[in-house]
Amino acid sequence: MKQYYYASGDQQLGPFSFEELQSKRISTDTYVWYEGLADWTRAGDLPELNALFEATTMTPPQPTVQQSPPPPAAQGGYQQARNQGGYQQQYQQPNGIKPKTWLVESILVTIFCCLIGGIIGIVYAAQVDTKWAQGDIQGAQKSSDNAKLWVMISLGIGLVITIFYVFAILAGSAF
Amino acid sequence: MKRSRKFFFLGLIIFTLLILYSSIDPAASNWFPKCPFLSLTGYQCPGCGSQRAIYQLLRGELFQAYQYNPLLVLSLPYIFLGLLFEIPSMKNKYQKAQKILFGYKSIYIVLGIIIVFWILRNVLA
Repeated sequence: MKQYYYASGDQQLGPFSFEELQSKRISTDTYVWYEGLADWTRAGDLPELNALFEATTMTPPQPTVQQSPPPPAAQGGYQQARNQGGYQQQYQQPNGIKPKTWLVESILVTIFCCLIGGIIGIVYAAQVDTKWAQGDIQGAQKSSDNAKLWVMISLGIGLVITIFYVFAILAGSAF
Repeated sequence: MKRSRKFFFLGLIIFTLLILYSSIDPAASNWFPKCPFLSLTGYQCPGCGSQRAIYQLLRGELFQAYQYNPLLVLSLPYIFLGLLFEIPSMKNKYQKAQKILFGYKSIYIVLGIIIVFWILRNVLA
């Protein structure tokens, strides 16, 4: 589960799960941060948070105080939060959730249809773990996405080959 | 909701495949796709024989399955363990085992085994 932080005035509040976030008074102009996000971001700019506002679009906008973030040097609360985030990334990995390695899926794909795609998937699976161990959360996530991509490509190719094969047999037996 | 739907379809697909592979012997039927790698190169890939092996496995013929694809049969416990560790509570309970068995070192060992098996089965055959 993603852990969200949000800024209220000069304070950083969190971590909250998405469900908890729903009960908070968050507007599209509230600044939100979670691990993996490069910087504090307006909640309205995060598509995944849209659900928070669908029911509350009629409420008046929040006071303009929060409309623009203070410059980096002055944003004590924000800066502190960001540092904490960096600290977490480096030293507190066990608390985060390692991205899925797709290892089992890659092995299955290798054995059952498409060895090349499967083997690429396995290499990416190893990278997820290596990068995660180095504290490179974004890199690990990227490798995880790549592993998934290759598993899906292999599955797709396997499916297409199977369908073509069955059709070829059907065509053959028709004559 | 979406997640349970996904699992439902996945379950349905697996169930259908189980029925298919337990009732028809791929070795005696033309309907099962042949390995494209084998057809193109004349060399076996690490997965060649998997369909026939699954059929034999579902009939309880472990040795027959092993003869079609030893890698598949030997990797089954590892695959099941990997799937088991996908369940968060299991993963948390056996964190250390999960880390050792599915860490990057193990992954590279798995990769090595697959490649060595791939070469050997073509050299020795």
